[in-house]
Amino acid sequence: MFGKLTLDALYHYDPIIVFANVIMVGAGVLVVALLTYFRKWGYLYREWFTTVDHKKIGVVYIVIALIFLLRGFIDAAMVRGQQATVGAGGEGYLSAAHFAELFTGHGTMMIFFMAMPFLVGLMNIAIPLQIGARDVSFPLLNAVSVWLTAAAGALVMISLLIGSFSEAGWSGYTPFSGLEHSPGPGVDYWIWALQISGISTTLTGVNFVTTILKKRAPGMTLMRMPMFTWTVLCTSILIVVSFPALTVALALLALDRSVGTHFFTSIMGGDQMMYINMFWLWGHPEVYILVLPAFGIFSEVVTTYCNKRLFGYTSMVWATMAIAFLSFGVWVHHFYTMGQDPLRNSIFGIATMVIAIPTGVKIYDWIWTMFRGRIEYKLPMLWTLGFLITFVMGGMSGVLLAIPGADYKMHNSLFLVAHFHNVLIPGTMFGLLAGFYYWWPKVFGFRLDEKWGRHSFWGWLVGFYVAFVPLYMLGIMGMPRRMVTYDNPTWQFWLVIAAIGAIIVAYGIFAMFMQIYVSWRDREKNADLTGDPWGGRTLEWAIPSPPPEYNFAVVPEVRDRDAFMEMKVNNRAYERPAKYEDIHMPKSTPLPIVVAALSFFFGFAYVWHIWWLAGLCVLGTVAAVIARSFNDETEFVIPASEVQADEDAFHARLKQADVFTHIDGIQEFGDERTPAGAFVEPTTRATSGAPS
Amino acid sequence: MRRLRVPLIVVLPLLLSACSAQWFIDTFYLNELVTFFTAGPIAAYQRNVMLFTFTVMLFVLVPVVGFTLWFAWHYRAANQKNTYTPNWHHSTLLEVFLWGGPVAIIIILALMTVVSTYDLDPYKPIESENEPIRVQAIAMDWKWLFIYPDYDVAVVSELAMPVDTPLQIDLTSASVMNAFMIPRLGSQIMAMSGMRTRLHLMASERGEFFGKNYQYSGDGFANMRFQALSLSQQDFDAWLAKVRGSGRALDLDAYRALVEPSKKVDPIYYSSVPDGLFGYVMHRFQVGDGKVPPDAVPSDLTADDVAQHGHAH
Repeated sequence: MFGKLTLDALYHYDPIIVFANVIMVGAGVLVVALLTYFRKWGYLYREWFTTVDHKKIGVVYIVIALIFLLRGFIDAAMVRGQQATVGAGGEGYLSAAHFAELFTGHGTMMIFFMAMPFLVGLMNIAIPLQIGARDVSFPLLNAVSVWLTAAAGALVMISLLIGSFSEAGWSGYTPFSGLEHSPGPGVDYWIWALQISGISTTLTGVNFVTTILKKRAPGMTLMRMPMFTWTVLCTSILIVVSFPALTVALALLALDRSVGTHFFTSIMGGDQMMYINMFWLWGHPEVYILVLPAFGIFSEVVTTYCNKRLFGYTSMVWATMAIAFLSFGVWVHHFYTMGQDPLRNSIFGIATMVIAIPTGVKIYDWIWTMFRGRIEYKLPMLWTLGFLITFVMGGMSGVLLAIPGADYKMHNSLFLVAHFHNVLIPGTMFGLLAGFYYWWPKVFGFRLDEKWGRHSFWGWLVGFYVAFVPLYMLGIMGMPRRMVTYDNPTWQFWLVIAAIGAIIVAYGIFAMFMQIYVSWRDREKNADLTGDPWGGRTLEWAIPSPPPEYNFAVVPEVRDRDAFMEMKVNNRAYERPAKYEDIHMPKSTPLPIVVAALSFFFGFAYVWHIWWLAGLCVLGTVAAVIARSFNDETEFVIPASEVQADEDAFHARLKQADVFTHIDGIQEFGDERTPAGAFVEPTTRATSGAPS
Repeated sequence: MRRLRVPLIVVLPLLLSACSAQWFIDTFYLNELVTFFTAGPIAAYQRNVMLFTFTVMLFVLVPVVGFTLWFAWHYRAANQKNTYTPNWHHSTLLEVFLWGGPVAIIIILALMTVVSTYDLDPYKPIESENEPIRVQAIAMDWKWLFIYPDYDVAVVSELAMPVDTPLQIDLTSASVMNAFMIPRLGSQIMAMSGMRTRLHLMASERGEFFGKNYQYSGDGFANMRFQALSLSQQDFDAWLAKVRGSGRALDLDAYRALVEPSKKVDPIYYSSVPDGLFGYVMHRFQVGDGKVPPDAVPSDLTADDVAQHGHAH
């Protein structure tokens, strides 16, 4: 009846896990109780659970990301705590198995359930607004994606309570992750959490490639797209091309574990190296999936706060495309030590280093954007500077590891761990946090608090150096990664420093939550009346904050890369049409949460081999999709009168904030050496209307 | 009090400069940076590769950090005197340098990469006056078994070698994927079941170096280490005699007991090993369930033949 699931699954050998469960279940019960007490379930269902609005979906993604940021960080802190306190030859407070679950969980959660949802959340919020669209191409699919991510996250969470999580590392190398060496439910939880979130991400990729190619406002040619839109296009293409490799690798591994096939086993002709190739065939593009949109955010931030056009836009676009293309040709550098001949290793080594060229160009382009600018030190600009200086070190250690001869020595050591944190924390995390602050007022209608934001920045930056410089040192001292204990007493000194770094980062995370709370408390004072709090240059700043459901009352006409800045300079901003028109928008639907719930139960059932339930879930999903296809009334109409009323209110706010006088001033704002009207490049002036 | 200050100002820097180097080394354990304090030609070559790369990369690091800080400070909004060119966004000459600089650096590094990758190929024998010693390493849960086929002995958790004599190490695994490395001697290579990989190392000074599995392999991973002993020829012969004198034979029953999971395994000496055991262990993953049956090792199996059927060359 319940497959392999027995009451034993609830038994946990480790009091720390029991305590974590008490906290998790307690928090869950508390949230449910509060929602019931304040009668918020109806509101949540109508406004959030069933919504297909890309902005709300973006918010849900980021909520998921923040929850997993906490869990992922706690895992990291426990790993640091263990290594700092265990001492040479000691046992420490963690068992080897629990320690392995922690480093596996940390990697899995930070990549799949923190960075990816955070990124996709910002994509959801900003992309349709930047390209002047009213929604993504497939709003329903978008809602399915977000709730699938939530379902996958729930599988990770439930593994803490029922059974255990994988001990095979976030990359799940075979044959260790095979049934013979990992017989428990942990690897299955890991497989299905990744599989469901991977499907969600693939759907997102499809959605955003289509949206960016097909939904741009008239006049926005490819070479007039904002840099963030470009990077998201590249990332979405990478997602669509690379995620199938992961899906297939995990599916074959799941078959090995449940049906008894031998794709990746060490016996019966299985090929353990094939899994590793397939995993990194996805895994390396994944690094760029994570980092490219962050590069896009830095581009937006640098232009906005330097009050200047982006230097070398064309270079940036080519560099981004080059990185995306090259990222598929470097996966072997994750296992130079697997015994290939030097020819193969040299080729992949050079391919890896070649990626440093477009990356270097991007860095220089940001630096030269600052040149002769007027730099305002708002928080996102601090994140950008922190990124520039820190990331270049990560790039250096990356080039070092790209050389097979050096990698033979540094592979699997803490030097490697330091390197990829040195790339992902400044590259991705700082970018995400910059974007978080940058677009927050657009979504919620009030700015985030600057003071707590600065505390958060310094916590992250200083904490990063204190935590990861020691790991570089330890790598050079020969310490391998993933050690629950060690017998070299000289390593402990640096491990203690690294743990102090983790505490400083913890303060940064705390300050970020304080920032959200304080800003919410003072939301009246921090209100953004104009929709353009930063003197923005792209279309999302042309509409109210928060935007109405339909985003743009009138679809804008784009004449320049910095579309909104051009409008302000040429006095076209906030133009009103003679007559507003009815707007058709997609209706809310419960289908996404039904599909997500069924996916969750399917994953759970597969983990525990409850085959009847798994079968029912598959049938239920098919039935739900068929039922939906009979629904012809998927849209509703927002009448022109309502749009007019919204716009009247917005323009009243604009007048109140004295925006129009300010915009008149912007005409003189340009470079005096540039003749009037030259802001629009003549060569790109001819508009070829992109389909909307 | 006034009189005290003057000497302090003079003495303190003197004191600091006298003890600072040693103080730094002691406090930060800089003498433990084994990647730089090498004991063999492979590791020394790798150290040079790293230092060369680091030096070349300084031509990236310094300008990036320098320009970032300079522009960030100089063009702050508060400094209204600065030139401000909000529409300036292109300069062909500058772009040529921005692309050309990284290209030049990567060309230099790419050339070095090809040369060093061929030189440091783990499969490439090390040139030496002395004949290489063959070692066959089998990774187990969670210890290393080292077989010396030329001397018909085997050791667990200890790897002895005469100084200035190349080692030719063949590796396989009786369990999951492992990675063999002695940091002070050089390269790392994976050990995988059913397959053979090969690594050449040499110690150019005498001493004891730690070696370890670097690839996570389960509960006993953290303690899966061994001592590498670099000995004079005389001491190595004495060591061999000590191993032979242990009187413990590694027959298939002993092997089957050894291969069972165990943690923190101290050195064990075996005075004899069945011929072809290494190839047989590999072979059993190719044709069987990966476990070694109690009957004798088939005499027609050579490790070279078996390795042909594996995937790694």
